[in-house]
Amino acid sequence: MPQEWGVTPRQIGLLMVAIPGGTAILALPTILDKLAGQAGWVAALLGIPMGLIPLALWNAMDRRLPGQTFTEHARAALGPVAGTILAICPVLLFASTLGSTPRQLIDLIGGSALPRTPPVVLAAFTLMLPVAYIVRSGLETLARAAELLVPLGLFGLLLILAGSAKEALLVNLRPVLAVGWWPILQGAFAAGSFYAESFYLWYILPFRGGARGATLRSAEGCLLAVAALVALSTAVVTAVFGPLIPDMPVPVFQASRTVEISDFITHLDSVLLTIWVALDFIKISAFVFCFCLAVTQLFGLRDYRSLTLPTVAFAIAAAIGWFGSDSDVRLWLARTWPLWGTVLEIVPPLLVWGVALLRGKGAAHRPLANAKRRWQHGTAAKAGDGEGAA
Amino acid sequence: MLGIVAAMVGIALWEVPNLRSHWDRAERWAFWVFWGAVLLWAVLLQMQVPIPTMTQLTNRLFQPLSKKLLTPKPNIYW
Repeated sequence: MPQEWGVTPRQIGLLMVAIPGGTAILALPTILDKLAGQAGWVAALLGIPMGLIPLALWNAMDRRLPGQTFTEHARAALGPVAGTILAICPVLLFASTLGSTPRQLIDLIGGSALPRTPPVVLAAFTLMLPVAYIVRSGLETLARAAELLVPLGLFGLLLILAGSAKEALLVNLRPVLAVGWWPILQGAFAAGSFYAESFYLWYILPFRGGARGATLRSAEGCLLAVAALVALSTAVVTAVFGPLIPDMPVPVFQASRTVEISDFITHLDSVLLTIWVALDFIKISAFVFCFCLAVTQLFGLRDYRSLTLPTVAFAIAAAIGWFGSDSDVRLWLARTWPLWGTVLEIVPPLLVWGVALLRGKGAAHRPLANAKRRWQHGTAAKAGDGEGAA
Repeated sequence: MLGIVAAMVGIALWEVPNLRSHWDRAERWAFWVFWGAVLLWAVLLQMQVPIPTMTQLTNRLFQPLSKKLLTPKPNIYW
């Protein structure tokens, strides 16, 4: 595994935007409005703590055992056998999203722009071959692609939301909290399962080029930005379409067709399509990278690149074979993913952290704790270190 | 189906230089085992052999809990 990679905190943050954002901004408005009605945007914000949990656990584990992925942390905390068994969880998680995410995008492209093109051709040529190329080129290439594409995508999305806000009726958002707290908490749980995809960063953060604190702050800040964007998208599309939202497959896409600025910036659906090809391209590349790395470490291989092409072929077959139609994907994302995602993104890291805490794994490697201990025992003073003695 | 098999075999040939020189024995084995498994699975999917998919398994696993936790309540305002 090439350890010389150095991904900057800003690149980590932009990957954090693309990983949950690629699916969440498309799928969540419908799910949230179905569950929480006109308070869907509140639910989008209440799900944030679930996304912060994997990042906080990574931070705690990285203080104990720095520069390791989840697979390595699991083995160090639980031992080789139990750790290896637990490390299968992320592989299953990544495998499931390797089917659903490309399928969602294929359906969007096929349904709106290329209806006569077979899905397998869309999957292979528009998505997966570029993904294979970028993943084989390494994590730094992926991070630089994110640095280029994600800001463009966000700009396009904000343009669409601002343009369609002209058609918004605030009465569609009222009465706030009329449905009660339980539906909002249901929505927050669904939104949180998407934000908890921050767990994927556990396989990217070990290659950080900046300090731990700066990297963590960047990832957390960008997670908050994604949640704010999901809340804003949900509020705007709810205000524009009102009770029609629960029956719309991709309301942001419909909203892009209502945009009309100065009679010449109209029908921005092609812009939205471009945004999503870009964001999902980064997202799927990150998934393929994480999957290859997790499998490589699970079987003790040296280089993840040998698995890249088979993984891409697997993703194409999964995207085509696992879902009968686009409604199957939507149903899976709305009803199964919140539970499946939450169980695999939060429970294994919590288990690893809890066991590491109980068994004191890696505690001796904490530089701050060691410095404090040396200072308390007067080691620094004996060595003649003026700052330590003071 | 023939096209898919041909495409996958063709792409596999792209890796020949790596298989010969860059990768060690374990990586070469991993490549062929993984590639063979995916190829076999894709062919079985094309032949519509009823293999349970991950979505079916996860749906079945979480359906009872999903009904309790994620069933939307009727919205009287909409």
